[in-house]
Amino acid sequence: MLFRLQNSYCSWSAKRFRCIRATFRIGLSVATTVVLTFAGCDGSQPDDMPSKTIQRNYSKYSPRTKVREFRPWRLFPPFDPITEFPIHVIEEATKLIDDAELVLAVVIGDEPRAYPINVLNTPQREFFNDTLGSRPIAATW
Amino acid sequence: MYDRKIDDRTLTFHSAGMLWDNSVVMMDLETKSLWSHILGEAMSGPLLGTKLKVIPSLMTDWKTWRTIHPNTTLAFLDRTTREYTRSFYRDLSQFVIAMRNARESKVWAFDRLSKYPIVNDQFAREPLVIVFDQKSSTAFVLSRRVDDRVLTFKLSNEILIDNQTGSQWNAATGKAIQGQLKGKQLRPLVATVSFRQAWMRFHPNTIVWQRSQEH
Repeated sequence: MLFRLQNSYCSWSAKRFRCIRATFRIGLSVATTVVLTFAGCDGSQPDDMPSKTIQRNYSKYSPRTKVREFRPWRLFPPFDPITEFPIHVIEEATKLIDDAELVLAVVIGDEPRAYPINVLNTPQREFFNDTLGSRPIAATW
Repeated sequence: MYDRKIDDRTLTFHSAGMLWDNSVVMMDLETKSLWSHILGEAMSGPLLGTKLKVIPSLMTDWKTWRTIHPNTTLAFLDRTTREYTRSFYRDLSQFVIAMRNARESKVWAFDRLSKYPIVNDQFAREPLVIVFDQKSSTAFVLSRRVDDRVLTFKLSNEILIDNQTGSQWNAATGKAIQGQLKGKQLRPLVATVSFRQAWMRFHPNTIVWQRSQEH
């Protein structure tokens, strides 16, 4: 699960939405900085914090103290679940996939399986419902 | 990689077609609850607050994986993109390997790991070792606990060796291949490769590993 910026979701309306939202966010963060500065607090960690343990402002663009409220917005109707897909043994697999391609891989019991990232991608392909070593798993990254 | 079993029920996940703070929202067919993909937690619907169990998985390239596990199978459908190859990691500073539990989280940045390809550390009292393979940009995260003892490791000519017994280990499988501890197994831990920025957005109080923290 490589959590990523959703480049693949760049439909025209999404881009427009994000542009508006980004503008709003920048405005908001500038406003926050101004307020905090005037309040005599720069939003960084307290002085008594051991300097080597926490580095809150690692992400200098959007330091946050808590996760945003859950307010999802819809881009597409829900996609059908993926429950069926071919499974290949290694001799066949090597013909299908290049050595340099990235995979999400797992071993359950004695059963190793790989899911190519180039396949597990785009909105309709985020989740593979699979069963490995008699365990139901959702392959996603 | 999530376990789809919640109590006695097996869930079937699909994309809800929604985004939350630039992260995918998933839905289960059975209850129509909405789940955060990044947090693995139901955010609304009948299963609200339920957390999915994470199964240890590895992000690596196909060559590395098939070499470690020659009996592997491959799930395949036609590709939707070609961008995810080794060269995807050209800017290592964008990526981290991350761990979390209900209270805390910690990340190790790929550009640091590339400089220090072996890190003896701990997370939530679990002693762990991270071994970074430069060729494939793969971070292997293993527990350092074997039976009742806690080991520390070093790399010598690309071989993983514990300081206590001098046994040699395979970092990819966690198995001791030579020495007193031959046959013992280091348990792989749940750790996630993530974009640094994305992880920080959802885990704002993440601890970032620095060299001075090494144990």
